[in-house]
Amino acid sequence: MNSYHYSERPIGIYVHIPFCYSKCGYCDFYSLTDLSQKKLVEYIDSLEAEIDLIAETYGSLEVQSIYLGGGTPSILNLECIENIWESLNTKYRINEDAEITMEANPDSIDLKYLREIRKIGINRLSIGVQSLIDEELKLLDRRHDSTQAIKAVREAREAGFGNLSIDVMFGLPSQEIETAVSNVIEAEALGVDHLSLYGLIPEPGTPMREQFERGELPFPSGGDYAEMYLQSSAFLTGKGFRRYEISNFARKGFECRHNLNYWNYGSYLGFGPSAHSALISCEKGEYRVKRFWNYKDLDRYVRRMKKNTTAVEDTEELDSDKIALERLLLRLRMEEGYRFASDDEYYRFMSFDDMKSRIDNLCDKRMLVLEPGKAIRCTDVGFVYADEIIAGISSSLNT
Amino acid sequence: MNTELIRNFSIIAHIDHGKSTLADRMLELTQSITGKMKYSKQMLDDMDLEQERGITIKAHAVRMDYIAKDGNKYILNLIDTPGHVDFSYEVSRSLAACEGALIVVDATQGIEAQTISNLYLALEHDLNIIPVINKIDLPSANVEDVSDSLCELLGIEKSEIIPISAKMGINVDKVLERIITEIPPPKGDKTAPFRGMIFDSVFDTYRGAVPYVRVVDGEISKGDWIEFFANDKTYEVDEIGYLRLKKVPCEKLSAGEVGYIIANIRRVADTKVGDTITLASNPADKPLPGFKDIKPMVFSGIYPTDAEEYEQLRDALDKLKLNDASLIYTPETSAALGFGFRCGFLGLLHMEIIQERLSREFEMSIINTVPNVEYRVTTDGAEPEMISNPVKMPPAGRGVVIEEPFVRANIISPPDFIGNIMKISMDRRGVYRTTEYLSTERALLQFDFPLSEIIFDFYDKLKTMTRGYGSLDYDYIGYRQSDLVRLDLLINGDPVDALCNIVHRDKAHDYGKRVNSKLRELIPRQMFEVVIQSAIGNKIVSREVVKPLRKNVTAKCYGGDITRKRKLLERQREGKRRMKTVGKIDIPQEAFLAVLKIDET
Ligand SMILES: Nc1nc2c(ncn2[C@@H]2O[C@H](COP(=O)(O)OP(=O)(O)O)[C@@H](O)[C@H]2O)c(=O)[nH]1
Ligand code: SF4
Repeated sequence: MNSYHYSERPIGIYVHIPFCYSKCGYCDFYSLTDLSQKKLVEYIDSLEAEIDLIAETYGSLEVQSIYLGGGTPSILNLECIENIWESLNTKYRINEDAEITMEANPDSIDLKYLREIRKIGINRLSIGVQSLIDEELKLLDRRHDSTQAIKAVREAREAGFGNLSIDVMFGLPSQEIETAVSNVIEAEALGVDHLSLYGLIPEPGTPMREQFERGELPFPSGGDYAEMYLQSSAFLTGKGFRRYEISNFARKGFECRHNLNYWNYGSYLGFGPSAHSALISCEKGEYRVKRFWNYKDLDRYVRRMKKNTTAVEDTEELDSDKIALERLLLRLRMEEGYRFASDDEYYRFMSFDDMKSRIDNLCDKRMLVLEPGKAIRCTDVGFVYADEIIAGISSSLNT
Repeated sequence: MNTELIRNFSIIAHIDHGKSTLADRMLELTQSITGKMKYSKQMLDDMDLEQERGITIKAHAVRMDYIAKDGNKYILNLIDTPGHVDFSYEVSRSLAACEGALIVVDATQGIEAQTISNLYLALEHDLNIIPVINKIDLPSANVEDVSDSLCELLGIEKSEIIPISAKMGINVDKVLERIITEIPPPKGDKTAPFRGMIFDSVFDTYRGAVPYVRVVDGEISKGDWIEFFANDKTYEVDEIGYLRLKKVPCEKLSAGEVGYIIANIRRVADTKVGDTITLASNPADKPLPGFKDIKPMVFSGIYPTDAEEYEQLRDALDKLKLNDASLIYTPETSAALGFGFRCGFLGLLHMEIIQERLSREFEMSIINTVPNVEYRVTTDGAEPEMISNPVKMPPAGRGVVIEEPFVRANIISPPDFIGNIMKISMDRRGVYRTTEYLSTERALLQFDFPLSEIIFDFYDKLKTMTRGYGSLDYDYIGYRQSDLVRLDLLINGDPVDALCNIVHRDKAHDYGKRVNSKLRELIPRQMFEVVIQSAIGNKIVSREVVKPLRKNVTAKCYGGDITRKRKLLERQREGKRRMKTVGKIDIPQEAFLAVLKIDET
């Protein structure tokens, strides 16, 4: 049986950069638009303090990936990026070949900046393109247009980013199936190594949600939505991309290691306001999962760091039921699906009340594939209903 | 014991008309209770359900000593009666144990149907009736009108009615005196072989089933061996006694007295209400009249939500059966719901009580199917068959005769609402019989109904249609033939046995439509279309479709925040856990009973 302590395995590090030039209507990430010098300085100081503080406990851990996300990390000037990198590099054991990703928006980067961050050590760039249609970009409140987006991708290559990803959205209000798909076709034509394809969802608490609830936004019907996803995904796989996760497509070898670590139940540390961490060990096949996360509040974060205490808002240790659900949820969103560690696990799994008939039914409907003894995984169409499938299967789990 | 000094009586009253309060006052006046002890708290046993629902489920009895104006010390036995139509047989047995009854009517409400039914029962048993009007202290009391109706109903003079306030204690002493002067002492032959009629039976965890009896003839002592007419078991009497607020053991009970017998009887079912107890050494040759082996009227499938709890459910039912002889159950299986039991109840209230006790006392999570009555089916002139599970009903066809139980219902209401009552009664296949005016303010309408039509929500409907003034009571009158059909419910083409029902042919279409649309509301959208159909045989009478779920593709990468995504799914999963997978569809548990809640219009 598999047993390990989290400290025995390389982890990921996430750094949250909570600043944006302006707020997009659909966005529910934690970010501020107050870009005053004072705020930025406070933030960087606190972030460095947190990195140091946490290193007292976890500094010995080996790091296989770093992800600077946001917000808009490319708002930070080179000096800031360099400082963050320096702190991490001196306090943690970062692997030679670690994947170091930074998110960037097309409107806040130029060739020079890109060259410099590449030089600092960022080796993967994820550009928030979202769409190549100007009207759509406006609707999304993005600050860039399609020309800037195209330029950003080109310059990233020029700057030497050999591992380049872009985000593309579909399911925008009033969007036609063809528009959504042609967007993906054009995005692919930019020649990237990785593409994240997200359905737009009016999340609670966002201005877009309010508009949606007032009936002002005609989102595509469920059927169109599914069609957009299925056609886009078929196109990308036809072009040699592998859909390794429900919304992530990569050329061979370009899967995002940082995200894979989340989904494969690896451990990670998150720094900055609202960042999440998880420490996961395994004892004879049973997982031990501890999650904790920081306040979604920069001022509070700063105050905590000034007092040299952590900014953890809450911690949870998962019971076996929640662990089972998480593993299903993460694994069934991946192409490989949920794999059984042993025959034993497989038989136990299938013997739960209703489980067999539930799975047979999903297989009948071509939503799920059962590889007896080995795995269950979603089909193409199954991905469209992933949440429903996961909720259904996990409701039959009785741990 | 000198029977001349015994009075056995009941109180007939509608719920909330003040039966308990009056009993409290009588207990106080006879010093049967001291200080703060109250009939309402003490008399009813500890089943919380009774208290919460404001009904007395089980009859009980209490003995009081009363020194009357004539200077004699009398024994008064107050025998309580259950207050719901489900238990009308028990009421009749309680009344049979008495020589008289108080009829108590709330001066602000007037006479209700149930009071009249029970009154008729009392008259059938030749009981002497003492009319009492309660709550005269209230400004809204309408003593005049209520007196008029009582005079009309009983053919008496106004002067015979005692106006009281149970709450303030006004005239309660007069009630006690009238009990002495108007209710005859019990008759009975002390020298004849012992005969005692069981009017109630309770279950004591330590001592088993304890029958409460009215001794009609002879006498009984501790150590006697007893027999029952309705079963062939013999028991040795461990203890006998009478009932104060607690059991008081005594040496013997003789003709005319009321008391209890403890004889290590394991199940309440062996001490059936109405049965006659006699002595093994000197048995009576005939039982007392009036015993009926009461039959359940309402049937429903009860299934554990979690299939693994079948055995637990069986144990729970076994335990309930120990103190509730009228509950019956037999194992059955359903393709949809798995292993469970078909249970028979006296009525809908009884069913609800059992359901609540299962969940409250036994913490069982159960699904129950739509209740139905028991049908008598004759195929090609063969022996009739009793069918209590709709799935077993043969498809309608030549040579199949289906009969269903009918009841005779008395409905009392102000005359303004007669039109409304006619309408809802016709909708329920009621057969109108008569209208009688009890007073200018109260009309009594009589109908015959198929039991199945009024058992569920008819009373609520009646209440609404009569702005709360109408009241209803009914008696079982026997089986009659009806044009009934089995209405199957199909989901994606497969019949769901647990949702099958028997309905009148004329109503099948309408009913099917309503059930289907209710189910459409309740069945959540799934990954594919769900087609709900109702069918008689091969004929589809109505159809509804649950559209497939909105596709919920992929939200933006949740990064490290897996907790949030998990919580969303936890909620979705909880929803699913409350559902039953039938065939391939997730059906919420409410759906199995939804059919009860469908609106008519
Ligand atoms: N004002 C007034 N209220 C009464 C009288 N008798 C009973 N009540 C109230 O009527 C309600 C029902 O009485 P209760 O004895 O519980 O009725 P039961 O359901 O017939 O046993 C209670 O709130 C009593 O307090 C009375 O004579 N006058
Ligand atoms: S740029 Fe990104 S993080 Fe900032 S508001 Fe827009 S979507 Fe949110």
